Amino acid sequence: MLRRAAIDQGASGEIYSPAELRAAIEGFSDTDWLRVKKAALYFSGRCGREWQDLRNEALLRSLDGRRKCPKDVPVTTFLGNVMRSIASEADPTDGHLPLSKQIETQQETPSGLTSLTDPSDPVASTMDAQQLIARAIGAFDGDVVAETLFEGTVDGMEGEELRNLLGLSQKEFDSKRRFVRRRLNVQFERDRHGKR
Amino acid sequence: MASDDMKKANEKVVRMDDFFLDELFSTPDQDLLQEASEDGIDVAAVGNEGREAFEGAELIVGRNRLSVVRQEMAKDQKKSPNSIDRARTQSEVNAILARNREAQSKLTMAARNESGDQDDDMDSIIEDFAELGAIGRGDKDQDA
Repeated sequence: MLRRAAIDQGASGEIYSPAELRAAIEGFSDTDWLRVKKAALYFSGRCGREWQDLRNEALLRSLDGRRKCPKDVPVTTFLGNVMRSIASEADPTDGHLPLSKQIETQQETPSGLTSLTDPSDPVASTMDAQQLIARAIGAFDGDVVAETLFEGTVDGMEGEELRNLLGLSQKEFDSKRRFVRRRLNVQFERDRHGKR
Repeated sequence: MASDDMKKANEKVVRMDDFFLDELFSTPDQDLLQEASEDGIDVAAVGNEGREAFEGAELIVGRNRLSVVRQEMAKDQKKSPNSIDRARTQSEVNAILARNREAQSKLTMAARNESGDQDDDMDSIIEDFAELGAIGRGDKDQDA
């Protein structure tokens, strides 16, 4: 959450030049690309694009300067958020309307992101949002601790408060958070293959 | 009510996405590699594909930039004599022609063979002379 806030504000105000951004992406390790792929898989299911298309579009918009990366944000995180933003634009396959001009404007902020204090629609409709949350909960196969952790998180509970509620050690809590993220990845990749 | 539900549902998705990205980008490489191994993912192949995508994107961005430069050059070349200070440049052309009777005679003959009117001929002559550097363009914008 802190990282996201820093991205929104573009904390130091300094941004990478296109050449610096190019050099940073050129230096990505295999695991950096794996993170980018996992983020693309996660967001592609909701926007009707193939994950490669989403990744490529994010790369294009970053390299041609349409999206600007603050220097205090890891470039992989920045690319993940660019994909998130592109995924919220429109679903070309099911007739969703493009989001408003206001959102387009927000996406031209230094981070290329929407603001948390005035969140744009991450999906095209209430039904989509509710379905997404329901599908996410379905990913935990009745694991009550994972479900509670997830629901507490999306309801806005802070980490420490949630950890105490679940009665987990820090190590157990971190491990469960990782499990939840991994299940979300698997679930939304599954959705992508068998899209409604 | 519906608007309230929409807001709440969207806020949940925003938090879910925050959680997902925070977790994904803070997971240590070692844990991510372990996860990939369990899922049968060839991490080196993922890296190679990413680098190919990056090179492809660079190529497209380069082509787009080249196209913009070409369009700007074409726009410059099409610069119309209408944007030239016509009175001033025409006077310069007339002065040149007055100093060179042979050229004047050739131009008059050429003009007779053209079907366009005299103004068109003079525009063309002004543009040719300007390109040759025989006269200044005397752009109105520059003069202003």
